[in-house]
Amino acid sequence: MRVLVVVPAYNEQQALGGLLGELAAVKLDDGDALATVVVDDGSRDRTREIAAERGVRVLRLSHNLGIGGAVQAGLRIAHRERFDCAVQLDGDGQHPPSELARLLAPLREAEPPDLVVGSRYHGGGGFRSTVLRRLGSWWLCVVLRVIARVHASDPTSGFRVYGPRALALFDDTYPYDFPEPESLAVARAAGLRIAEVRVAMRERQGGQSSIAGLFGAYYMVKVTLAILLAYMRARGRTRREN
Amino acid sequence: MQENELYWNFGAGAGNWVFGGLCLLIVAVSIRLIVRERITLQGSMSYLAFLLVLGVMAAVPDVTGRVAHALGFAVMSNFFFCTAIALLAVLHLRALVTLSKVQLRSVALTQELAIMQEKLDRSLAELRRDR
Repeated sequence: MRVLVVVPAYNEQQALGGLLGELAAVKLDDGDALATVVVDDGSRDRTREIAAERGVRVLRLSHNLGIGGAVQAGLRIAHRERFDCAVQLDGDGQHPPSELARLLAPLREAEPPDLVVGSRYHGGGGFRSTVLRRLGSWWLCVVLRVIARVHASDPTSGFRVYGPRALALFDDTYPYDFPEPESLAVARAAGLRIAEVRVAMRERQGGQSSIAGLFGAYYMVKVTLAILLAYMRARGRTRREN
Repeated sequence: MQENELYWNFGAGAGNWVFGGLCLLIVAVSIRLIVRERITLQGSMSYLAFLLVLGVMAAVPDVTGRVAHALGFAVMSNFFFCTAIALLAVLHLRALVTLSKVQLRSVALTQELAIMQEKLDRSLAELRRDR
């Protein structure tokens, strides 16, 4: 299986070197080939240089597109170069590469899912998080369940595996506003199979969360609306194509 | 009981002409920007139409007043503001559509550029290795 690891990174010079070192040490099953592409999302620090020094492929976006645009650029490469799947692994070091094998395991099943989401909370996972963050996550779970009938325990997780059908879909259309939860709704509307796997995650090794403070509540309102609209748009699109 | 104001009688004062002149000035600036290719004619048409409507309203206040009266507005300024706000809302929507299209194209172009650049860099590196 040819696997492309897509690492979106924006000003991640602190965490990226260690992350790429860990990735290089990952051992997968025989016959699996792992390639890595760092998508430098217009960083102003040494992110690009650090990635290049490690000998991985570097995609240099001329300006900051946000996580959605950066991830889609990586997924486009995976789709066009006919990789069997792509793994999204955030450049801030939250996602331990040692969990890759666990995340890829569902793709070896007889009927593999199209999208595998690594979850901190699946099966009552013991990941420590703030009350507000857990509350926000719970709200998104409810919204996704009601609107798109997606049962996800960690909808904001960016630790994911995209199978060929998901790569084809997201090469064509990918949500830029709130990509993680929205993409679940889009995938469901397009009839993709979504699975969840419990994974361990770490605190971010560097950088800052884009969702903090009072913006959290505003974020929830916006993301709820975005999920609804993304689902409606994707449903309409699927109907037109059929 | 207070009588309705005869609001379309603009015999005195030159406020309407000042406003009409201002609209004309903005039209002139817009046309200058179009000629200098700072803004596109396609994108400016609705804005020019908006200024034209306001300019006409200012130039012929009697007619505007009669139209406002026929539409049931008690004061002409209300009619003027309603028309201006409605036209501004349409203009804003149009600008939003254009901006969103440009934004989406910009994202796609940035991605394509990065992908091509990366391919080119790899090809050049391979060439250097072969030499």
